[in-house]
Amino acid sequence: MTKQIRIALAGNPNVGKTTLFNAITGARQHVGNWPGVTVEKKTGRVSHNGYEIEVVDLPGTYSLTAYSADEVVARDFILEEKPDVVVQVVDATNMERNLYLTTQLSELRSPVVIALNMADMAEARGDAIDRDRLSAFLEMPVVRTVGTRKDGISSLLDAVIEEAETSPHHEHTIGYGDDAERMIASLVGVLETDQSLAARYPLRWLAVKLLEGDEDVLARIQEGPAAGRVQNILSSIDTDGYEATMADKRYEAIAAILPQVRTVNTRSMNSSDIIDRVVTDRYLGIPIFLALMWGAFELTFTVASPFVTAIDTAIAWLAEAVAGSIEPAWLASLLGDGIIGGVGAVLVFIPNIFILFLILSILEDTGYLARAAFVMDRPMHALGLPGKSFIPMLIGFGCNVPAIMATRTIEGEKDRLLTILINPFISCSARLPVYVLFAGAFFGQQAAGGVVFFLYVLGIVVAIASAKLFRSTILPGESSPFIMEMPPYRIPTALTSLIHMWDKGSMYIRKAGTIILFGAVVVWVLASFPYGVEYGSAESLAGSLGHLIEPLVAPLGFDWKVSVALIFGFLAKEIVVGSLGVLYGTGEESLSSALLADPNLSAATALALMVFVLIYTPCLATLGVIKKETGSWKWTGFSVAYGLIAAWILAFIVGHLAGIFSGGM
Amino acid sequence: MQDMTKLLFGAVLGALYVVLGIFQILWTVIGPQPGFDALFLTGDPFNGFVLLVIGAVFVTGAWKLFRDIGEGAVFIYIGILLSILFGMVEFFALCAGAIETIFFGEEGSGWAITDSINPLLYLAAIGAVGFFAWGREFLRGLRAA
Amino acid sequence: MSCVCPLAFLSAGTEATITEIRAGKGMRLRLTGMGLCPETRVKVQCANRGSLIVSVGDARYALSRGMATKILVRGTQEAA
Repeated sequence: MTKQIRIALAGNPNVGKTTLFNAITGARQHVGNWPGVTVEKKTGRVSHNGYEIEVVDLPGTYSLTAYSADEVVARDFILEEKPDVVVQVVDATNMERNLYLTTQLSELRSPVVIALNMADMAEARGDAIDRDRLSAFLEMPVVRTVGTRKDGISSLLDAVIEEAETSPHHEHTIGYGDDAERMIASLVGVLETDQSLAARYPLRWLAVKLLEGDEDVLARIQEGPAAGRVQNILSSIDTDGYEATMADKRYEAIAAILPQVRTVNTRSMNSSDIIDRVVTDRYLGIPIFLALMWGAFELTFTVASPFVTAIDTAIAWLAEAVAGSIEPAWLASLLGDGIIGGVGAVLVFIPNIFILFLILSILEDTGYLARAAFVMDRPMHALGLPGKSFIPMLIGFGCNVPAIMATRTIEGEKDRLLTILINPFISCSARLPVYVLFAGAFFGQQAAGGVVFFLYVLGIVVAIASAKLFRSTILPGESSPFIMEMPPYRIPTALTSLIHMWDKGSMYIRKAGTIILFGAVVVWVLASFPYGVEYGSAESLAGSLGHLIEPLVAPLGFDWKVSVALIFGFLAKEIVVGSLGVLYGTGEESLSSALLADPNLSAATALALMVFVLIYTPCLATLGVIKKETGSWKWTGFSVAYGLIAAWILAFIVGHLAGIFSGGM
Repeated sequence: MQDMTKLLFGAVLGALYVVLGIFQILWTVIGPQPGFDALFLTGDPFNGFVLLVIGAVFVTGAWKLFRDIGEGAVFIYIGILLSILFGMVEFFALCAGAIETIFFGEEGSGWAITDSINPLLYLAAIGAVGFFAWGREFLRGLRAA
Repeated sequence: MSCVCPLAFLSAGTEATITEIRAGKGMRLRLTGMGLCPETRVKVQCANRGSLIVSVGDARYALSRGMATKILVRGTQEAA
């Protein structure tokens, strides 16, 4: 019979924890969210020596205080879920800081196994670490691992199983000095009177946290019988003072151990610093960054091109085959026009999305993205945004959904909200087909590129202007000061980058499979009913809807067909093209000639329409993620209203200006 | 002596990048000029910008080596890296273009390799020479990072 | 031995010892976890533009100047 073990992976950010997680679990993993917070939860499974091991990847944290969502998630998991073993991934090249977390983990009384990761890097630069002695000092097993090469995984799992089977477990604690220890002892004495508390938590840990003035722990004991006496003790002392002393003691303990287990090869400047001198250069930093971004987009669009054509061809073939072979006709129409046409329009962008995410993953895994945020901090600061918000903006060119999720790395609540609110104006790849269609039809091959470029720039300008506007009105203040680790440069492994890409890219496929499928069916139903009307005609439900809206958008020069397409575009902006195809009854092949022939549409109207599509209400999936990340209907509603109003005004201005130059709308 | 080679390498390659970058941007403004067919200029301003950036990194490196103010070699290394990186970007783009034309191209629209060649592609060949000369030294540093 | 001054005033290549962190409790605990606490040596690697890169042991952090003005240091010395 196989035995079940549950282990948690803990560790600082940038210690190769995710790589190790991938190396342990391979493809057997699941990504979700921790309940109640916007922190990603990854779990995976692995079988080893007859044990079925569930691996939970905790968020990367520097310590276990209650001041960030990541740290609360990590410590609550260890405290409440009581995993059999906690594996702490330690960066062998950066032991001091990593062991600080170890001192905190050991107080939680879970068995801890140390995975001394990136050991190859430490060795390559001449450091020698005596693992046996380290293990003896810490009183926990220490295993050498190299996540990128999958070295040491098996011995790590051996150690984990052995540790899980060992009981009772020896508790390793740090002495905090006579004064602090006296306070801890008296607090433990009081806490012991609370039976339920004593059964659930390690009392020494509770006492240490109370002494540090941890509000989360204070709240936990509030209901119990010990609360009053604890308050009495705490009110008589200065918790800030104790917090500082105890931090000192932890580092002292580490400083006492390290020289005995590690011999460091002294060196002046490491390669990461050397590279940083160039890529964060005062003058060259930003140009290098911009050049790399150009490269990223060049790859995204040119390299994906044959794949896009292949998918496009396949979908067109499929739609035709379905339409020609299935009876009854309405079903063929639903499958061919509705589902395959609608979903297909979105699937076509999968190569672009995946390549963009692959490049971003590689940039992130090499460590360059952190430098990009540093380099962009100053220009972004001028806009009232922190440098970190640049990364979500960049991802926004691919898709706003993962972009808004990427704002989680931004610390200040206002900074984060601001970045979320302006993100939809960054023109995502879903809007591109609309531009391609209209720019291609009305401006000719030569000018189309320029028009599309103008729209991208307009999106950025609107985002910047909105940021300025929000900063001076609804979200006043400076962007908050930040601190961010610069991980050393690494050569990324294909596996990690690919998994990374898949995590983000598969979100897009899921979106295509759910919301867009739903949208396509809704469009088809509205265009086909009431029963008997001509598909997509003015008498259909879609037609009536369009006529209802028409007066509102008439000043922009849009007729009922465009109105309907815009309503459907709310589901996902790429549907605008598909639904126009449906409404004109031409399919996408000959849509551009049908559009040109429509007397209601001129070049100026087409331009106004593209501007409107760029700016108006974010798509449903984006709104969903805005709601989830802001946790507020108010801000979600604000985003809808602001987008609609801005789109109307700008489309009006652009359309009429273009009309003046080209002679009437 | 090693440094002298790097200095010359950086100065020459940097100058080539900068000049071709200026040409690329000029071509955008004033249109293609006769007599430069051998340079395969495309008149793409963004391409020209990237050329200028890589050139600037090389020139900075050469300048720092010349003045002996330290860190010059680092700029040369990063320049080489950028050179190869963008060479690869253009190479992938070229392959993609070829695949697309061969499999999905319309009848009669033959694919010509000369359409896809641009300065970023062939200058990377010179960058690669530098990589083979000093790459080991540089990569060792990176892995130990 | 020079006097106490904010980390933000240091130029690239200088080293100093942290004496005090003038920040809220949450930020102070976070910095402690990152290894930035009183009595540690920090080195300014790069001080361009709005922010600076400092090293503590083997870790590198980018911090904004606003943050760096809240960290007080003493014993500034030019590294060789």
